[in-house]
Amino acid sequence: MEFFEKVFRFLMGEGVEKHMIFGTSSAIVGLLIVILDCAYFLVKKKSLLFLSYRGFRAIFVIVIWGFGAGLVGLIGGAINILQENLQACIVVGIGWPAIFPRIIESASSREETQVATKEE
Amino acid sequence: MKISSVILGRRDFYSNEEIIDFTKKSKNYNPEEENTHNAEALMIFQTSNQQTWLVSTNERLYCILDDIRNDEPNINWSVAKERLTAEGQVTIEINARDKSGKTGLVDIGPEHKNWLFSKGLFKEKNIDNSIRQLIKNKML
Repeated sequence: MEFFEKVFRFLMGEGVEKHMIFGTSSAIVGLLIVILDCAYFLVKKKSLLFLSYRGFRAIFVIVIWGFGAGLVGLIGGAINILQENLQACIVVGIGWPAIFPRIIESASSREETQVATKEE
Repeated sequence: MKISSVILGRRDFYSNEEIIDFTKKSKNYNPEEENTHNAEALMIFQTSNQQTWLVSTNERLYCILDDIRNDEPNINWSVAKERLTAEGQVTIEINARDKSGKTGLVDIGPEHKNWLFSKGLFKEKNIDNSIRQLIKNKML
């Protein structure tokens, strides 16, 4: 258990607790938002998040949405592309699918590259 | 180390001291004449994946590219003291110019042209003078 804690601390770097709190908060906000959207869907037959809640798949969609928000919050906070505050939690909860490509882009940003040569 | 680097399986950049020590791997390094203890390194280019260093020993100037996507840095080229200095002066021609907002290009002599440098690393002193000073400090 201690080993996994060390691995987790290594991955998250400085401020691991803060990233975890932000990730968990993002997951909770994400869950609340998707549940609200599900309720809206049941009443209005339309999803504001453009999701579909039909039968048991609705539970899967809700869980995955919350899980995605939590993970994007955790990684986004750890690589400093998100400010870890309540506003950011709400933004992640509503729009994590849009933020996720930004995280990937940030990790493999297009910068100028120096070509290596062979010493003579 | 950044989490993005961990996710992508990349190593850390070599430190200043490690880069200086890496010059020993050059096929032109001469342990009898050169001494890395007095060597000095100057970083000229820096991105999230790459750092380019110029390392001056008492005998040679080395250009080393540290790309964290590769297992270890690469020695791009090296120039002997005789081609850099003469009569107590730095004689090699060094020319720098703009390339984009953040980067420029520097020519170090007639054989090593168009090397990228980060303007942000040379806000206080221009790159031409920094390279000249590096050579002067270690070879003259």
